[in-house]
Amino acid sequence: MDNQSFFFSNHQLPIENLPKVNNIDFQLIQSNYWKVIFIQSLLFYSFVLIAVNIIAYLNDAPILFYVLFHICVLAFASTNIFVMRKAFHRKAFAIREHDIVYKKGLLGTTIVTMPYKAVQHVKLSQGILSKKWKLTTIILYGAGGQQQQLAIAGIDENEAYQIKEFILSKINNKQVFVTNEINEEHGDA
Amino acid sequence: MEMHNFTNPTRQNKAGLVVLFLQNLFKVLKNTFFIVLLLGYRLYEKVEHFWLYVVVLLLIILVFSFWIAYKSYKNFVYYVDEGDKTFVLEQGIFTKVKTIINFDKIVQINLVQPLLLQVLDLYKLNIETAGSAVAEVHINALDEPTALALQSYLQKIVYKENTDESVLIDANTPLVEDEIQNKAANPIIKIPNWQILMAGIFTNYANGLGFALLSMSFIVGQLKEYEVMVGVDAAHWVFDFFNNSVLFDFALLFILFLLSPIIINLFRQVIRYFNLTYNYKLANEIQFEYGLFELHKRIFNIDKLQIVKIKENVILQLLQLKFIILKQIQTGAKDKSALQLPGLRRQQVDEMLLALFKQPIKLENPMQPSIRKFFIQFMLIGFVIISLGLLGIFVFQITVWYILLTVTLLLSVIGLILYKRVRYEKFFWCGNLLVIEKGWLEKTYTYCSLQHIQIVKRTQMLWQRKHNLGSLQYQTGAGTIYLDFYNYDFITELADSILYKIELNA
Repeated sequence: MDNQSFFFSNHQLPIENLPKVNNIDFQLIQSNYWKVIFIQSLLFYSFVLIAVNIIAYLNDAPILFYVLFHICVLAFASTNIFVMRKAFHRKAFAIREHDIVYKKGLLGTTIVTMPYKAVQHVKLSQGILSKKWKLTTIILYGAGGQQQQLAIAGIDENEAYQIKEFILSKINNKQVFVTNEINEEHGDA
Repeated sequence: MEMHNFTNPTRQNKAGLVVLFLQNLFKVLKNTFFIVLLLGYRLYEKVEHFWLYVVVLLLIILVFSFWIAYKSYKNFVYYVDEGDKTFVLEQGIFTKVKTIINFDKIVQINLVQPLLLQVLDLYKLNIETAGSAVAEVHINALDEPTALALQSYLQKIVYKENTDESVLIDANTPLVEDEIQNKAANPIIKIPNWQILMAGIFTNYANGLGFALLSMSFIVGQLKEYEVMVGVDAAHWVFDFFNNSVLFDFALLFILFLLSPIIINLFRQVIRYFNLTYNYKLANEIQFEYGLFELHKRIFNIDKLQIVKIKENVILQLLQLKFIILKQIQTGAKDKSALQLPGLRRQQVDEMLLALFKQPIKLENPMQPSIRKFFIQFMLIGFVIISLGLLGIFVFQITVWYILLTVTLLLSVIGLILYKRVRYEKFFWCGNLLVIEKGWLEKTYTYCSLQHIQIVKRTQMLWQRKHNLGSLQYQTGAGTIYLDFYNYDFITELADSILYKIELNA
């Protein structure tokens, strides 16, 4: 008991000296991920156009309907893609010693931070389009179901794997080597 | 005394065969009842010796149910693997299933005694685990000494897993001695049933009233449709309605609807939490016992606690009662592991908070949201109400004065409620504990310890920058807590401190 109390220390730290999220150098997500978002959006709007055109054709819709509908879809799609493009440039993340930080938002800024201590398991997810450009989504799950999760899309495949290994090593308290590899990777980027 | 060794594969109590048989029989009858009834109706007059076939069919169902029960009983074994730190359960007739649960994933171990088990003097043991992907464990039939020993044994293993303290793990001897010692040191606290009833009724009275109003508006709507359908003048119709004997029925219906929340709460609270008792067993455990038709013996693991909510309102304040909700990690879509404790006195609540958070809590130096929160909320709701009003005037041709009066009344009431809610919202930062007070007529205090926060999310919108405002969300295993329209410097400082303290404890 005496030995324990001898080694125990609990010094007070001034709040201004605490590490601040505002001082982080964020890393942008891979620019190729925009191609994935763009193609996904094109596919979605094409599907909507084809489906509505078929239904309208089968129901003998007037020409005016086709004109108005196509104008509306084009206007909505171009606005939506423009907003997504603007928002895309604001998505960034940072791997820190004790947590992972994700920044996003167009009309405002949202900063999400998840300490590794809270991570229950890590998942890498890759769709068909993401696979083509070697991109991955990394999903971190906390305890308590699907609500407690942080997903960062558009990370380079190799980098995502390293991040996953790093986080798992952090969870298991085996952190030395992977930390260096990731820092080098970030330095190159 | 009977010795228990849970490291060897163990079956349920033999009397459990009866339970399993009755459960299977009920399942088979429930699933085949309508088909059998339909076939019986069709074949009753066509088939000779009809009743003989019925008896044979019943015999087949009985034999089949017994066979399923017997195989379930034989194949169901549970044991503890101390080396792998897991609880293992093997079951299944056609498909063998082996469920392995790590000790650190166990959230709660409960004993439940439904009516059937009360007759047979057996207990059902439920193990709740963290995360929706992990299955829950139910052991359907254990005799009382085994059930209590297994619950105590698992609880001690889980306690040891979560703390550095060395606890003597023995399924047999410490149980009785512990019980006696604990009962002497920490006496059992009993909550009178009238307190449970009062707290139950008056905590949910707003919901109940809303339900009653909705039901009333539905009935009025139906009556109006009837009026249009029959084509009777409204005034005459109402006059006739009240002059006939229907008046009595109408009044009866109205009273029934007003009473509905009381009746619902009677079942929800009093029957569920009948004879509620609790005592502080170990440093990290509270043992609860409650239930009228279904007895629950629940050991609440304080280390797994995520959020504590305390509710009180004007009426409960007069009665000096409070309503506590203890939330652990959500084990699925439904928040089943939440424990509601209606009707506690102020002193009992303070004692419980001290046991839960291990620190005296003084709510000082409150932070409050900006009044802009009220303006934004009021503008949004006002926009919806005015739009609906305009829709009523121009599309449904409703009289302008009627719409004006309704919109003004609604805006005044909603405005007052929103204003009071914002003004009464307070946030307290008490060391390792975050407390948020919300509500006007019905206040809710939400307590959350820093160590249980999993994700911190801070947001500042463009229009909030000028006034240096922002929002903070902190997510725990039992839900998310929101702080909207607070000073952004404070939000940033709080978020950084939360992360620092969480990571420091890593």
